[in-house]
Amino acid sequence: MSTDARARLAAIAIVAETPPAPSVGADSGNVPLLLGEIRHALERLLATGAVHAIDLRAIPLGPGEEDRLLEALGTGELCATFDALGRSELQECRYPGVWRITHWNAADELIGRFIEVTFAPALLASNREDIRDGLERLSAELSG
Amino acid sequence: MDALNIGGTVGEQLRAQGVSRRGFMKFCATTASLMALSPALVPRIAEALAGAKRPSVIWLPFQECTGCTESLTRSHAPTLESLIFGAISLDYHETLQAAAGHDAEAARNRAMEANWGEYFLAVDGSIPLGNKGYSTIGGVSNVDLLKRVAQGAKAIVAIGTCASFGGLPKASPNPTGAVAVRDLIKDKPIINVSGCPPLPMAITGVLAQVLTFGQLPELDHLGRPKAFYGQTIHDRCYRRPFYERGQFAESFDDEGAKQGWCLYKLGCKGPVTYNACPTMKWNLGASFPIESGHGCIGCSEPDFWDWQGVYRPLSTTRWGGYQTLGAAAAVGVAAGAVAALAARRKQRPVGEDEA
Amino acid sequence: MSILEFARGPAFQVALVVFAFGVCWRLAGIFLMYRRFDRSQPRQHALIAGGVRAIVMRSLPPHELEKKIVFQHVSGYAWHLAYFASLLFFAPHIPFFKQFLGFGWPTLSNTVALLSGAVALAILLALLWRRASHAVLRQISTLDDYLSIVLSILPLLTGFMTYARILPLGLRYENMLGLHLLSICALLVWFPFGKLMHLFLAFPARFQAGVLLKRKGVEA
Repeated sequence: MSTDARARLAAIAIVAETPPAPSVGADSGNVPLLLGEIRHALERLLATGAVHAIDLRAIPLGPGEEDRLLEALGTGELCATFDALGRSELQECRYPGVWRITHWNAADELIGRFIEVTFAPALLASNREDIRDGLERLSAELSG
Repeated sequence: MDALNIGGTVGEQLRAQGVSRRGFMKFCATTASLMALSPALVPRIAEALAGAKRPSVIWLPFQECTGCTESLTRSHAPTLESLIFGAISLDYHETLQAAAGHDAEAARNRAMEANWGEYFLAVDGSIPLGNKGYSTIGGVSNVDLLKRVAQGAKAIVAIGTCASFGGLPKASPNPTGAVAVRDLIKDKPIINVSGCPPLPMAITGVLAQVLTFGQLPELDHLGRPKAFYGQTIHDRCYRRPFYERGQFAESFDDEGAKQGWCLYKLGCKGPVTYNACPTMKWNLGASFPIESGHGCIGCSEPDFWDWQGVYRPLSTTRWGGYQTLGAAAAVGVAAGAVAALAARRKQRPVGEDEA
Repeated sequence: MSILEFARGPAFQVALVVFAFGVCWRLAGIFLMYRRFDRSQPRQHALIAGGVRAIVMRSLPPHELEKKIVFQHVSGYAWHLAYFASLLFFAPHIPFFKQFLGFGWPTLSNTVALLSGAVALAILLALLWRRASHAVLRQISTLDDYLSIVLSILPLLTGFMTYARILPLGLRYENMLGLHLLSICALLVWFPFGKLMHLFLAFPARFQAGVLLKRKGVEA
């Protein structure tokens, strides 16, 4: 590009505007509905032990709504992380029994976000297959 | 990329890669999310995937822009790598494979022979019929290659609007005589994963769904998996309350647009487009066109390039323009004058008086 | 080509051409005929006022019959007003008019526009049923009468079904929208050739009658 063209380009005034806060209706209205669903799930968990899972990616949420939901749920006492095909985090929310489960892949890209209402998420517990494998390895160590 | 790893289940393959059971359950959970299935189904999916045989997939690129492959490589769950090494055996893909030239063709032919009747054929790009020489691979025309490879395929996945419906090359005046896969292959099941490009996770989700259930997913009237194409953009759009309330953006920089109002008047084709963009979104769930302020262009629908204008609202039509209507009106007036003249002769003569 | 693309494209172009041709043909054919020329002196002047007066007076029911024809009179006005309220002030219709006129106008809320359409549809269906079942009306009704009312009802009905997603026979939304546009094409094609032309002719006809009567000194 010639210096003349470049100069003309630089002469175009660029004004950065702060966009107005999105109007009240930008919500899909799903946040209070999801919190209500979680409440019912907690009641069912106490009554019958039934577990409930919500896939946040399946719900159309407007910009910022997912953050508002997670903010509303907050963080609790327990946070567990594991690394398998990428990092995963199981965070109990400030309402015990409500767990926020986030999965990332090996490239640190977000691949899943779930809310589970349960006593303990299934992913926390050690699996029989893995225990058997570990037992084999331990036995080999001890005998070898 | 192991062209000859026939057999072996997905579970075994992942185990062999050192993936723990916990990791495998995570893989299933994210795959279920990908397939738009309820988290409650994860145990069943785990069971199915653990025992699923790794199918061979051959990917043929025809008259395409490689955007579909680009989209696939942006798929973040499962990662393309985990998909390739864990779940499927991608035995031929020109952009992604290391082999080239004769070696690549030989690898493909070996995979086809070894898996005849069992491999999946993935196609992107339309197929030109105008002249066989318009698009070739290794000297073989697209249409001949498609017919040959399709013969031994269990099913065909047409990836992108070009392969599904003809896409951009088919748009008027269709200089290459482009057609879709379904126009040429009639005797094999075809899954159309349309979109320009398709949502990355729609591509991998369909492959994952085929893997898990060993059968083709439920398809809509255009052969697209209902899991991703069962609802219109309009049905899932977060701006729908604005549509219902009649709050529309009138131009791209007005107050309404800044407030995030409905883009119907700016030509959004959301109501007639079936896709999962509002829920799955693009760029790792960052946004989708409407959320970024531009109306949907209908890229997963057949012949969308020939719809009348990206920015013309759905309630507008082609009306010919003022000249055409003016001409019609003029002819009408002339015809009316002739009719009036004929009538005048029959009317009682009034001498020199005229109306 | 899908139904929607056909309706938005060639069908509409043809329908509008036929409409433009037909309306101009009929209007030219009528207004270019001789009008009866009266050589007598006019009994009264201010003939234009007479024409306007006729328009107003003939928009009201004739005094002798007003009690007997309340239903037809009120329902007629009601459905006309409700029909045009929803046609002209329903939000998705504005871009349609804007493409011809170059300007738009404020809209009614969806609820009001839909309610208005529902009222028009209900009345029209009632009037159609009445026409087909009433002893006298049945005898004097012609193809023009039936076709005009049916073709007026179809856009309203299909519009409702499109908006409310009432999709029978496995029709999809986009096809229903296509049918809505096609029903408008049908209305436009029939319009110049039947009684729907009263849109253009009613007021000029009343005006003309008023002028002639005023000339003669008739208070009507």
